[in-house]
Amino acid sequence: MNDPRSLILDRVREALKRAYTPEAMDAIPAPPAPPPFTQPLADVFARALEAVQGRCHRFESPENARDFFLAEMARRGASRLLCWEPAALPIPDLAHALRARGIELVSAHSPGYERASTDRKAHLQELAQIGIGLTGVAAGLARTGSLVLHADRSRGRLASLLPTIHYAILYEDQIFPDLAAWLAAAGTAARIANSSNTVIITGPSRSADIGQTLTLGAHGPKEVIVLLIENRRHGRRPANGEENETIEP
Amino acid sequence: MPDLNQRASIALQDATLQQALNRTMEHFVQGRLQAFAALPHGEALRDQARRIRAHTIAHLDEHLLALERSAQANGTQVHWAADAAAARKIVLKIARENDVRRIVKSKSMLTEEIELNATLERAGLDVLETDLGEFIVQLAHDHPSHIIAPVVHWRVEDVAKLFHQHLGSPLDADIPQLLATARSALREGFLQADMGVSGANFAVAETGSVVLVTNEGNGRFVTTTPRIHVALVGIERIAPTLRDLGTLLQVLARSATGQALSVYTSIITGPRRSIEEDGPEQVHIILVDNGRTRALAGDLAEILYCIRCGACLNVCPVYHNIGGHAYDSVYPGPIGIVVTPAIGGLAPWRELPQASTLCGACVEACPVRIDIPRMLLKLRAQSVAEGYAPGWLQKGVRLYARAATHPRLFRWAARLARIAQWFAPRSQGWSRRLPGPLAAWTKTRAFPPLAGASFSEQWEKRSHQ
Amino acid sequence: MSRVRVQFFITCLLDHLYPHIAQDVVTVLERQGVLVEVPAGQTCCGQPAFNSGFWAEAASMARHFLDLFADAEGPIVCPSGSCAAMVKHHYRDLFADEPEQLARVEAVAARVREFSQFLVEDLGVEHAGGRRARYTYHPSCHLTRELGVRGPAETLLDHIPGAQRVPLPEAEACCGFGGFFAVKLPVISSAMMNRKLANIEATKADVCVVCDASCMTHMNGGLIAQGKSPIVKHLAEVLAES
Repeated sequence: MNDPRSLILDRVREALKRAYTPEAMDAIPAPPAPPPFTQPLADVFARALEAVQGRCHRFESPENARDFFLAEMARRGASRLLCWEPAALPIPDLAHALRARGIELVSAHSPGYERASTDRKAHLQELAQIGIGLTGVAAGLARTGSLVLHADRSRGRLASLLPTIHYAILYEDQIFPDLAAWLAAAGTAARIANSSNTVIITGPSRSADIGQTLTLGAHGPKEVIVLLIENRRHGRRPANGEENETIEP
Repeated sequence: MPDLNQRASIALQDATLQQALNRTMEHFVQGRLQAFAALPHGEALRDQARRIRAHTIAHLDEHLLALERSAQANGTQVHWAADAAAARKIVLKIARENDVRRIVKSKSMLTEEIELNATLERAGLDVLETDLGEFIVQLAHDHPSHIIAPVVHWRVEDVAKLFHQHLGSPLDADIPQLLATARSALREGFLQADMGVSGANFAVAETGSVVLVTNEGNGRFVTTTPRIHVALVGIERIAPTLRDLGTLLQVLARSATGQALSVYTSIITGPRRSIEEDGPEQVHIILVDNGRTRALAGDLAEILYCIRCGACLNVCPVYHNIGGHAYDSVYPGPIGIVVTPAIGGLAPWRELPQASTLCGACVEACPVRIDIPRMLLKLRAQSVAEGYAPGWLQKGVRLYARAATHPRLFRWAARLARIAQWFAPRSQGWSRRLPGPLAAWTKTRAFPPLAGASFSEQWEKRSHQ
Repeated sequence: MSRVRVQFFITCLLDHLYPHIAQDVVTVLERQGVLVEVPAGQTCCGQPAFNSGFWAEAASMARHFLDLFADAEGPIVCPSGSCAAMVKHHYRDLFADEPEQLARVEAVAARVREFSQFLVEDLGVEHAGGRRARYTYHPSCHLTRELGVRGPAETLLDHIPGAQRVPLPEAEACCGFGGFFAVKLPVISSAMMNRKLANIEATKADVCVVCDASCMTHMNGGLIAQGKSPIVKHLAEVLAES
């Protein structure tokens, strides 16, 4: 009985004999479903994202999005980007175009930036110097304007966390009506179970702790900018929630 | 130790606190109402959330075992702590075994409950609170006064002064400047930390995941940049499946801050895989009882349905007037006055269940419709049974009950009182001084005169004519 | 057509402090053709004892109440949201272990109707009397949240010819009475009351209407202590004037 695990489990079982748990059922019924949106999900998503101070730019094709992003980098005078593995970026020739303009793409696997097991902290310090992050996403949630990202080898979690500005590429066919619909979709549970980290991002980092006044950019990105693309002209059209390419380790 | 009345007086005389409470509580309340109004199935989601919590608590042993199994399968190390001391010891042991020197913490009420920081600091560890509000609390050696908004009682100028002293920002810094100052101080902490300590909004039994919700992003940092992540999880905090998690997340943010979802929801499912380049190398879950099984055993089990959104604080007229500190317990407000004696025992916390008019605003606001007044009534009955009721009240109620079950006696008592009342000073016919403990009424309120003849006497007389 | 017959559950406060309002209840009901009966021997429903944890004492008072009302016929009309809620919702807590009492409780509880609810929901009345004035309405906690009665009192006020009803800010916030709460934690209770009184004052209403004599006593008690005039009135008092 000194084992705290058995002690706690015994206490729980003993307590449950006397516990008053109103409305407890043996099984949980299916959750209520909201009526479907009457407007296109992309419109709902864009509006919801703007409502939480994110920004949404919409494009017909990946090429349009690529050109916009290149112009953005030029406007901001950026020389480095913290991003997913270039091959995982869902606009196929984007990495190439960026490099052609002299912009360095830094991911956790880039030569010189690999995790130094002896000096993890120095490595993080170096990555934290980069002001702009670029990622794809696994899904978008229309009702809340949220982005879903699963971490894996090619899709590091720092690119959406460390920089001040986070650009995310989202295709319209990746948008689900809401959190519940995404969770209920085939494959979602397995994807969550197999990823060390799943994050749902709903707008830029914010705090209202000081003076109860909403202020952006507390710890995470101050700006979240979504490039929302209507058509995939390149490659096949993946099912909802599936990422554009899978990179084997 | 000043009693609740005295602590309430201090709070009521604190003009800053009063101003902050007035401004913030209404803001939270309106936010919640609008967030649910915008959702076509909001009320149905609340019902579903209640069903999930009820089922989880009623089958807690099964879900704990399922959580343990899935967590271990994804590489998370699971520990069990029967009480606060055991939980603190486990955290300390993990820190020592891994040569940890610097710890960053994400906001967690459970770590407040088990007073973790003091233990870690005594052991020579450097502990940094990273939720902006908790960071302010830590710098100032204060205590959080609201479970969602820890420094709701601080003014901007006070934060500016504090940051000026500790972080060197200008004395007249505005809010964006203050936030930038905190951001860079805390960023340094995140990058230098060896271990991250968090609580858990939920732990998913299906996948063995710890779920953390923050707006600032500190929850993500604490569980990403340090080598080790330790999550302290109250044993009641389980969501059986991801589907259930989806329902609970949808009501949590709406109830807490009026947001549709918080900015960051992290679902942490084990340590970094060997092929990954970022994320913690170890993830630990510490399952903490610390009185929760005491609460489970009986009439108060329903309080464990709570998802810690703070909505009941925001609508509570008592909290609205006195703020969080006057309760002098880790959990303030309606949830606090039940959960504190439920897990910690009634004897040390006997004054808390009295701090309510049973107005029921909390039940109405609670996303999982916890019947807090029902449990307050149970706690008050227990209080009487254990002899904690004041003597005057005991005698008074017994006499009153005796009279009330004997209508003639009741009538005579009323007649006596009618005579006695004319000795008190009066204003507009109402008494301005009642005797004994009832004087607490007449200090700020007059009391009406007893009628010359009661309605029932008048009615009888009439029907006999 | 036979007249609707009701049992009048006076409540101890109206019986002993405000018999004129109890009379107003009868007047308003009789004006609608209701036959009002008053079971003799009424004292107190036991709520003050129950709310402060004295369940044995509350149960003895509840038993007395059941003895008076169980065998009488028709709806039990009560001019207090909280006393009605006590009988309707809490008596069953007191007799959880006594099945035969419980059966009596359920039968009585099903008959209990709060005064404004009875007028509007059961009788379908909208205009029940009242004089032209500027009114505001404080919805008492137990009426709105325990009984779930929202609207009838407002309906009755809105149908007083020429009367004006102005919304009360923070209307559903408790006035701070709470039974013994008012004497156990007088500081908090008074703070809540002051906020309520300030809100009432801000409406510039001639009369603040309530459906519970306990809230009325608390608020008028505060007004008088502050040297102001007691403008809080029970709904029955307002409707009886015509």
